[in-house]
Amino acid sequence: MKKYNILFIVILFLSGCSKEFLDLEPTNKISANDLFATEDGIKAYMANLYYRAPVEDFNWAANPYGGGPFNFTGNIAGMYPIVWTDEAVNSEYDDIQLYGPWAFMGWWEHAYKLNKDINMLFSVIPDLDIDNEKKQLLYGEAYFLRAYNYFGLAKMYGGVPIITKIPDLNTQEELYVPRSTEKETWDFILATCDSAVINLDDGDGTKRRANKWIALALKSRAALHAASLAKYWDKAPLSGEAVDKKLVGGMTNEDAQRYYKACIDASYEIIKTGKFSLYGANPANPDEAATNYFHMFAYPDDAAEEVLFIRDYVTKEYGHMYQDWGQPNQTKGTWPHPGRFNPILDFVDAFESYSNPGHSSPIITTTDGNYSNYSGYNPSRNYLEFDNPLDIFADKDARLKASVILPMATFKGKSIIIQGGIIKTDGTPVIEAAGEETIDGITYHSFGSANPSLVSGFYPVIGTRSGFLIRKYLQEDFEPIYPPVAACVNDWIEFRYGEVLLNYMESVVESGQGDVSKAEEYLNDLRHRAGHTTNISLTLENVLRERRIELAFENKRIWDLTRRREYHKVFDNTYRHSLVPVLDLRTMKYLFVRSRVSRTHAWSYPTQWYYKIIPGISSNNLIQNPQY
Amino acid sequence: MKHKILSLIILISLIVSSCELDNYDAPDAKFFGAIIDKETGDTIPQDLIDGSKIDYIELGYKNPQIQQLRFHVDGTFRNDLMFSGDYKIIPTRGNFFSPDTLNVYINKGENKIDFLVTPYCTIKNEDVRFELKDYKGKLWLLAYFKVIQHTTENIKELMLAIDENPNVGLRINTKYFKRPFKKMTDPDKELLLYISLEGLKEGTKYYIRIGALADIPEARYNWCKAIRVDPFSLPQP
Repeated sequence: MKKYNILFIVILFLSGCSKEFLDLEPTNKISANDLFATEDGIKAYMANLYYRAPVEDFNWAANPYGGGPFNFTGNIAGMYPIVWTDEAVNSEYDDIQLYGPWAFMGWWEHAYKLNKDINMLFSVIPDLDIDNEKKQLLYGEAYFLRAYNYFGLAKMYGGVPIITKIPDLNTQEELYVPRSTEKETWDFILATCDSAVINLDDGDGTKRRANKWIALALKSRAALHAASLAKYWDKAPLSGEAVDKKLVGGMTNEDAQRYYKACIDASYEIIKTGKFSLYGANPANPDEAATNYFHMFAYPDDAAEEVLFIRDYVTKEYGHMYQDWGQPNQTKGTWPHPGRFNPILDFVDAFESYSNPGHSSPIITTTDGNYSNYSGYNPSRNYLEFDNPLDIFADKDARLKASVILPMATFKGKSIIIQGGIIKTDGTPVIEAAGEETIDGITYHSFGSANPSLVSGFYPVIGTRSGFLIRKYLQEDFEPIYPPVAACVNDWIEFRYGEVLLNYMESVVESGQGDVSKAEEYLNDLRHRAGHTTNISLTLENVLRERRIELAFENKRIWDLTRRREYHKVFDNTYRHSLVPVLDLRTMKYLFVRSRVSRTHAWSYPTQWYYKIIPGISSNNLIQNPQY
Repeated sequence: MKHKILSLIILISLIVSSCELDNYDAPDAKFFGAIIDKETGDTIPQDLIDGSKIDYIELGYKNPQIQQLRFHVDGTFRNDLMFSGDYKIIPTRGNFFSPDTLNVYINKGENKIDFLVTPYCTIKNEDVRFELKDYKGKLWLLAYFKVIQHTTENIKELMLAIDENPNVGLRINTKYFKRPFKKMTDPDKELLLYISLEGLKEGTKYYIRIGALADIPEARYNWCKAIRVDPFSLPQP
């Protein structure tokens, strides 16, 4: 009898199931069909893709907590990419090496997730219920995002697997796509840019979604990167299986010329439309030049003629922390951790002065003019003395004071006090140490005040230790508040006309192709905007200096050093340097001491870091980059 | 009460008996040896930081990862925490011509393997001599030495490094001087590097090494062995 019972139950179960039993639609998720059924749904999907695109903006930072380096708002003490270059140093940490092969910068997994969702977009566009023109624009944006994403991958990993459709999970070939060569990867990126350009139009005017000109600017940037790699890869040669199979390197001089040409053509297409120009192109004087240049980065929407593409920050829930970390101690509001971005002397030295155009003009602090002595204060040398510390920078390119807060410069209506020491009346120096002397009832403290909250320099961690603070991107009307974290909502300029001009002139001077006279004109246009009146000639040195100055802190330096294979030359047992303003109590004037940045060590860039480690080799069957 | 204690004892014994201490074996093998110049039989000095490496792959897995081991400054190496098993081993990315990959079984206990290779170049300590010179108001250390070259490529750079640490080299130094060379050299030709003594402490003994870098991808410096001197008391001819 029992047997029958069991049989009955089994039959009941079997007959009780219909085929759709397992095909229930989830009730807490929107299906693809529903999402893409409305234009708002498509817009939401696109917003998500743009958000996840690898934009190296205010929230691009090494992320030790997992999740990739983009859109990162966690607390890593302001250790942002600018302080890993020869632009700046962090006031608290010197652990560039901590980020080693950049495991914290790993972008692999997230890039391929984004790639999958871009491929998904490609697969649904044909069936969307919208008119063909809109479909074409969506294709254009999808191509743009794909190119942007692969550019992010290629510059970190070299040749990568190219996956342009949603893989069939049942076929090995589609699941295990091998790495393409580095050359094929760059060709793919440039060809994808071309597809984007063909499909896109002038855009909706918001500068927040891809248009034809943004796609061209991406091509200009990517082609210059590829060209430089092809030309300079041999300056830091690597070996191993990835090199033998040309997964990294392996590009020729012909490739370099071809990529430079692609950069020239893409850049010139933007230039020749006449739709764009430099913001504040004709300043009356250097002061006006500085004001204009500063204003563009603080308020990008005001510079519509120069800005091509903006990364928009809207709400304090999805903001960034750049202004907080960069804020001088005196204007920190309720934010507890100011002053982390300290531009270094080596960067300040690189600026031209108006009286000596065409040359970097190092800060001269002594009568002997020797600027390569960083061994600190030496009473036997004759130091130049100044009533106002700003006087020593008086002749420098206006972009210096627009990008950097100089000692005793005015910011938010306050004089930002950056003082690193005193020379006592008996001649005893007290430099980068606490000390004071009272003269006629007035006490002079080595850091400007015994109260750390009244000054912005040289108190450990809260004050700059290089003698400078960042100014670019800091809005005068922004008040740091804490909590919440990441409440800054100023926008990031991702592409601007100035960079397009710089890409053009570098390609011309490197390859001998293109129009030399135009390139020279653009070089001087940029300098003219910065208040220069004397033209200089188109040389590689001039172009690279201009690029370093003009694009300062825009997160480009790290890639310029990488693509031109200069990182390991610039950082080869290298110390970074500071300029310490010292009040001489004997004369009540300021002198300056060129030093090594305190509490830092010599740093070298190992050449294997030019390519990052690829994660998951044991399961994805890929060939690893050299030396990992 | 008795019941409670009894049940507690049963519970504890159950918990204890159901656990094994560990289900993985600890490393059981030691692997050590040196990188040796096959002509002279001397070990080849290395850099402590960014020096040559031994790549090794433990077989028996799908897609095994490359593991790495570094040399000591004197050219020896040691890893006391290896697992016995089949390995592919190759010293690579160094200051010598990489030998063929070794397919070896690492036994339990001690495994000594010496790699006999040809270095890219050699600087013999007996060829090194120092002088002190007073020039333009500064004291300079002059180092004369010879480089025996085994490559057909150029010597890219010469370097002198000085530090109080005997591991002095490319990254460990208080002062160094690098000179681009970019040509071939003759083993009998005496070469010169010089460095000012500014910033060094008088009466202190320092370690000095002289190195030559071959123009080969990822090559490391070939060094002489560290020489201990007080630079201020060197002969002044």
